[in-house]
Amino acid sequence: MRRRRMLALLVLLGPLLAQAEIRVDVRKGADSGIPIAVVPVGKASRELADVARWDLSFSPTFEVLRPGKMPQAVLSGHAPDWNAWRRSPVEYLLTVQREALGNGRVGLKFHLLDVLRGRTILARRLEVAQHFRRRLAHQTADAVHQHLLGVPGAFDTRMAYISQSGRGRKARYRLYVSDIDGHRPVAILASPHPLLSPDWSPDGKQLAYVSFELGHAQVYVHHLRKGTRRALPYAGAHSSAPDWSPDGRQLAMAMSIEGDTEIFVYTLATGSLRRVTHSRGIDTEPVWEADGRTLVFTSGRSGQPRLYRKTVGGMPASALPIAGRYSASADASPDGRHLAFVQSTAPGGFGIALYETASEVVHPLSSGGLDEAPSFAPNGLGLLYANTVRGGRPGGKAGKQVLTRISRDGTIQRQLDIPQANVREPAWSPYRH
Amino acid sequence: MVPLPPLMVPLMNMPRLKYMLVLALPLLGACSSDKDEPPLEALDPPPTSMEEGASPSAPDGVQTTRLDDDGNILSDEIGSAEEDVEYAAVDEMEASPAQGTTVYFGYDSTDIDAQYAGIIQQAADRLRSNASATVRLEGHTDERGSRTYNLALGERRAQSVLEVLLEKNVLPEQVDWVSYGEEIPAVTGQGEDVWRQNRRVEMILDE
Repeated sequence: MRRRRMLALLVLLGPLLAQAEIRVDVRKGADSGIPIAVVPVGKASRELADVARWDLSFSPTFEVLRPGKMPQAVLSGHAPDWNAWRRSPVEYLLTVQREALGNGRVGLKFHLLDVLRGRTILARRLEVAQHFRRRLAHQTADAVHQHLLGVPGAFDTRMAYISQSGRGRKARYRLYVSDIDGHRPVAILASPHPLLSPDWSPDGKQLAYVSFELGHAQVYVHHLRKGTRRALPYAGAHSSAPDWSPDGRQLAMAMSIEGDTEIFVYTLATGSLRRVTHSRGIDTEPVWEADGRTLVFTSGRSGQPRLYRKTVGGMPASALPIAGRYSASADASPDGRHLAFVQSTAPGGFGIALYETASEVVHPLSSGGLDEAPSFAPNGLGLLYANTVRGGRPGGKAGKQVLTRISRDGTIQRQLDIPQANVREPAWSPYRH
Repeated sequence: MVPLPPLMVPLMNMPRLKYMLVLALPLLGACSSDKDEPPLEALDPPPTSMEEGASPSAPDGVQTTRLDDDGNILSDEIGSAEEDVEYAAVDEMEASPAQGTTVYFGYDSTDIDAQYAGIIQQAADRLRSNASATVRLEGHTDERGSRTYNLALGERRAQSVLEVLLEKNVLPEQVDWVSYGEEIPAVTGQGEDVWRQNRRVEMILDE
């Protein structure tokens, strides 16, 4: 039954998922917003129009018309029938036309039309190598998002995450990089030892993460293009929880001092290491705030994990005014307005919540289960987190770990899954440069 | 497999080095008080193990694939998780921790219950009677809450056991410790009965 429903979903989303290696499952959708239709110009353009439609429908600010509800197909070289479109609820019409260019390249021409005024308000031509064609649609969605909302979209971005297949001596861990919609996943690291906590450098060229390959937790910095890796701050230190500073010059991380975890800042160019916390009790999970001077981190100094804030080289740490028995794993939105974090929820589970820094108000985002590891989109409008779903496989005892992409208001959720593996520790990339 | 860069080898073959670093760091870092006060110093780190441009491969089955900014794969691709066929049959396979050398903990707790005094005493006796014997303390947590916080929590648990061993005159150089956080559960599944068995420190004696 469950499978049949999934099949129906796959059929509905047919062209979109034809090459998907990670299944995408819509949980709930928004039903109010700026009405927009995404229309392919010609059959060959359907795939890219579907991708752009899927992207824009992740934004609760848009209400994206379903393909079957279009009043009219749009033909190449013809203006749309404005009257027909005006009778529909659509305010904006995005036409997407794929162009085969030869030489293994493909182009996309899009027009964003204001239906009420009857004119084109944005038009662009994009071009890439054939196997990156989905990026044309993501870039189209980004441009439309920017033009209509004044904020860049984060559709042409990537994510890093960890997969685990097998257990015990047969466990295999991988660090993946994929498009943000889960397509084109590439394992950039495979290891028999646990991997944790990937974090993107601000230029998107490197990942810091934790590997157990030396027999203990150790931070590594990994250059994606060169494939080089180095252990930080040096091999042999128990180090964890790396977080790049906004200027890319420093890594905040946790290190063990006599079996107590404390927070340090490592300067990449000089190799200098600066100790930031001095409490008895766990201090870990540092995350830079947008100012590049303040760290938010998790501390067990009061007995239970709570979030604290401290300026590097400044005043003593102060607890954030967040109620509840357990708050941890903060991520700061790039605009500095929100922190996402993990909190304990009523029936003994853990959910993702947002803390608004100005008002100090907490909004629950996910209802909880075993939710963890929130990571903000570079535009702050969406998040990734890891969660556990029941019934990993028939007869299995364990839950299955999947990833969820959620809009910041919580109204739109998408689930990303690799069928044979547990996936977790998602990190949303910066914008591409 | 590309051979290890030379610097890696001595580090990996010296189990005591970790302990030396642990002892050395507080001397270098500010250790003036147990509060969050300003005094901050830069530490001079030992040389890093792998410089830029060093081997992209690493010890013990770690493989990498190079990837450019556009997502082009620049080297041989390593297998995907979907190609791993073991997953289907492995739930029952994990080696369960040896009873009698495992200390279990309460939720979010690092306190050692009195019932484990005996097995820690036995381990201490064996270590004291044989100065060349060593023990590795592996700290673990259940799967609830933050994965990274759990890493630190497992370390505190290992440290709790370490402190008792040192009080019983075991030599620091006989003890090595590590935290795996929630990464290597003894039992998979959910619910308190499972979680209880995963909150543990395994004392692995090498005599």
